Amino acid sequence: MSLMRKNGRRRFATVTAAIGILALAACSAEVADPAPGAPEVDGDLIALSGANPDALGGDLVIPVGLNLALSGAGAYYGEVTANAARLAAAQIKAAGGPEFQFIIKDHKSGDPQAGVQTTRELGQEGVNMALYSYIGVLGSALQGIAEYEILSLDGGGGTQEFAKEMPYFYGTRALAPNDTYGGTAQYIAAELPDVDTVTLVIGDTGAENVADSVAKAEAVFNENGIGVGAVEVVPYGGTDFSSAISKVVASDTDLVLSVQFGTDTGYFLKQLREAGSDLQVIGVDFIPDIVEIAGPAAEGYIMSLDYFDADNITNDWAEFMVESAAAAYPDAPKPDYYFANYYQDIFTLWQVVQRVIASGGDVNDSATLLAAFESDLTFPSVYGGEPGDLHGFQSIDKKSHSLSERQMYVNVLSGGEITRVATYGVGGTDFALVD
Amino acid sequence: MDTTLLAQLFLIGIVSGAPLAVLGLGMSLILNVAHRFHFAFALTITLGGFVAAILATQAGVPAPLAVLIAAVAAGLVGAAIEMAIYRPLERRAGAASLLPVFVSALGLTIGGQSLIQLVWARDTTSRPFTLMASERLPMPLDLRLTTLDLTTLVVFGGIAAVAVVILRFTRAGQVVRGVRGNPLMAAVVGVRPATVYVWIFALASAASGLAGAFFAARFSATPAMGFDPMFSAFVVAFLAGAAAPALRVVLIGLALGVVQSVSGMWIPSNLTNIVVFGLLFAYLAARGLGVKVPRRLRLAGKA
Repeated sequence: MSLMRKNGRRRFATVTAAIGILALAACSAEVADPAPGAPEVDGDLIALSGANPDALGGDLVIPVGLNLALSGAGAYYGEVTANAARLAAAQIKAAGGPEFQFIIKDHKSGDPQAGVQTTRELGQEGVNMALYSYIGVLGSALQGIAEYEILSLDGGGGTQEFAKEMPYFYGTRALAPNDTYGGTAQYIAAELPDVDTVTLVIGDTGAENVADSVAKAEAVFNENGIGVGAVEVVPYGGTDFSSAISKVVASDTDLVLSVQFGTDTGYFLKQLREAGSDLQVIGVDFIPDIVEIAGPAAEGYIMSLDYFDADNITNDWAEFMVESAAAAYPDAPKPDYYFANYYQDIFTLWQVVQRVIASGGDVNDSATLLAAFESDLTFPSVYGGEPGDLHGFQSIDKKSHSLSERQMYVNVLSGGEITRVATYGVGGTDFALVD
Repeated sequence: MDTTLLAQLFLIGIVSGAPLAVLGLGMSLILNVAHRFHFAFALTITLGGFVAAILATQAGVPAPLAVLIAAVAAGLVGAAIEMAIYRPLERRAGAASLLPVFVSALGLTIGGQSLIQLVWARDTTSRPFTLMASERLPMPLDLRLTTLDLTTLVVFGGIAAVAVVILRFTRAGQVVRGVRGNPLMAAVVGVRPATVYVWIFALASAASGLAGAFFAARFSATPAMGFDPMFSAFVVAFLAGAAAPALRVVLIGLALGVVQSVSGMWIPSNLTNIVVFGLLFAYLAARGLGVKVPRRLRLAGKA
């Protein structure tokens, strides 16, 4: 074969491979359009979502950044949250609101370099509002958010402690574990009076975070007459907890408080039961994968967080969201709290736009948007409320930029069903057992 | 000191060290006989995990058969990687093939992992499956050992033992040692080094796929599951040394598992991985860092 033909075939193969790789990458970043089966949106959505009918903004096209985990370990949740945002945007448009034009970026499941780069891109593309996840891509996006003045909401990781009070960055998820301790401790005191000591099993999210969480746990639990005995720091995102479990079992404890996230809890539960322990576990997270991984070991798992239960709706807007999500994404599971947070965050941004319109301001000006946002940090929510209410409410603290008001729950996983056993507010306020 | 806890951690270390020993042996052969920096070992581990999980949970294949098929699939992929990617690169680059092989292995792993995620992990972050009912066995001192633990020990202990015997006492082992020592001389006496490399890749990759299947049964199959065991296998291979007999490699793998587990007695679980890399660092610091070009590559470069 002549050299020229050989080189030509090689080049062809290289180009084909490159195109294939690009196609693969593109596939992984695709976000589904809401299916044609989405229900018609009428004026009800304006009332349900607490929108201002006199300032809908239907003639506007507003770019909104979605900086999510579209590849890597968190890709599944990136897709869930993107779908939620797309559904919300479609409904807002159909209800007479603006067209939210999404500029989607992939932070590769928390890659700090990707976080910096994608934020820079959003800023250079003139985006003034965005949704983030992974606590502003583990903090890497915060500087860019402030520099480019992008009003950013993070309904996936919230602010945690290290991203509090950061300019233009707000958390729309209750902090786990710190915001859950109050409710959890009161539940233990009320319903598990034999528990004197808990062992804290905490995923390693950084030494400062861990130390802060442990200190907070000790303070809150001691206040409720419960001691925090052993503290076992385990890998975050790990699968093998056998060594840690051996130490937990060997410690003299009455209950395990699991501060782990995602699938970690499933692996932990499974291995704890395989180790022959029947210790009660209370955790701060729940995703369906936990049941998938733990199987029968998940029975009796108690979760304490701002969990969105699609089978236990508390207001009409939440019901609308669940029904329309089922119609738009028939093959997807029911909305969880990730879906709920990102869905309602788009409506929160619509609220901000409406406030600017009503005041005659410029919706393309960052400072104006921020001022409108901060003018009233209470927003309609799919969480909370009572059956028959149009919607619930959530509030963000002006200083910390984290949620100050959000309905939180203590639920028990039993017989494959999630049963609500207590409710409380952020930090354990207004704690009440459910009859 | 809580001796029961120590004994339990030791037992956990043996169970986790058994597959590590086999992975380390496979990596040692690939590194020191075939002279490949085979980063894509992580891919065959992951592939084994997913093939077993998918076959068992979605295709209705009995779990033990699914595990076997996973091992074969991983072996075939490993052999294909050597024949279709590494060998052509070595032919072109000669003595300078180390870096291209590593880069291609890295690309294969990242691309392969992404493809696995796209095809098999798009709607879920993990795929667990049940190899067997994991029941607790009666043990002294109230130690905990399940049927899955025992099966892991038997399977990987058996593989390690068979591999040690073959490499030490059989003609096949003699061939492998010959190729490792001097591939050109081995070729002169009728051995085909290229064929030996393919077999090493096939068998080591099959073992890695089997390990991946067992990891998936113990935890679940996840797209990134292969990286940690692959790094641990590298550490085992490096610690054992280039000309190490198979038995030494196996024992180092077991020891690594035990050290990692037992160290949890004194340090938090999230830091026990540091022990593994700490040992590697100490070894490298003690021995000094040096790049040795394999002899056959040096001679090939001069041809």
